[in-house]
Amino acid sequence: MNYPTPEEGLSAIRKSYLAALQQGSGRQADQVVEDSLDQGLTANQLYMDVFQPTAYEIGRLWQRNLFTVAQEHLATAIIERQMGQLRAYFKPRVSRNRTLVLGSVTQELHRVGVRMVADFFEQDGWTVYYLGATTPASSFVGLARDVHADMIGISVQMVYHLPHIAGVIQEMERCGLGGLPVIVGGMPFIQQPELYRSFNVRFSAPNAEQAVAQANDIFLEG
Amino acid sequence: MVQIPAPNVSAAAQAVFLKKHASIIAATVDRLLQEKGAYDHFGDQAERILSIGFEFTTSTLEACMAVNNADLFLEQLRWSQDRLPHDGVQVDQMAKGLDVYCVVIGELLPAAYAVEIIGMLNQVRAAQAAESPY
Repeated sequence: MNYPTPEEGLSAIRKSYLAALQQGSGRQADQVVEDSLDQGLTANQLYMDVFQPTAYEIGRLWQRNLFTVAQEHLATAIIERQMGQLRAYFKPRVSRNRTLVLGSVTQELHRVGVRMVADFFEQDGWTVYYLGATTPASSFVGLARDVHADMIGISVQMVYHLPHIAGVIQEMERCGLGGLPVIVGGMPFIQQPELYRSFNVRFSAPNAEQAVAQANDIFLEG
Repeated sequence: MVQIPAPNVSAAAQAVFLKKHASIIAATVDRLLQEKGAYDHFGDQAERILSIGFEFTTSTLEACMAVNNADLFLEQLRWSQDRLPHDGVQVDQMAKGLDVYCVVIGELLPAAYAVEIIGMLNQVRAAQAAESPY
């Protein structure tokens, strides 16, 4: 008897999950998540290996007219709801005494990715202030100042919102927070891993796990 | 995959382009709508739909110039070729639209600035043509 490899197993889960979302069936998607957890998949793996690639695949399918806008919105709502239900798995494992403020730039409506990043940081022991979508530069910086943030995380999905990153950086400098490390993420930074160098930021990461690892490296570097 | 050199559009050219943002879109859409029959299938929504399209084009171009990265614009062109036919805009109409867009930039911006920006657009379009199997 041939047993599936871990990658084949994940691929099968992704297919079932995508099919559930394509049908707009939250219950079917819940079943896929529950079965996956029963099979030993962690919540982190669900985020990284199922939710994130499925969300990108849905975007690609919409681009090719194989997903409607309604299906895409419904799928996003289901993923966000499930992330809320999985939140218990992201309780802090350690305490790091570090604070992160993060969200999507102003006018940027996409927030699922940055919410995943928020949960991973929280699990890693950071105190996280997750601002969600379309956050004005002044709100990023005002909150960062108020909570004495150690780092700011900025998400952009649409290329035409990239200039708003510079807006946040300028606002930080104006408020005397110019030395605070900034990390960025989102589709343009996945497509071009070196793009972050165009901004005065420390790094970009293609996923939540790497964002946490790289952020901690900054503090190890001193 | 094609890699386009950094375009280095000057800050002065970008500032003028930003200032003319709305008039570039309006003039491009106006000129395209004068083409008889091309956008009849959009009915009374034609102006709104074309305006949304060129708002996307213009905002994306501004962002790419700001970060000095033409490859990002190429990626958006690839995306558009995939998506827009499903929204009723054919690939040849996109090309025609960009031709008109460049003409309008040439008319509304001082020549030296227009050359910088049109040069970047032409580089991207040439790269896209080089990728095309047709």
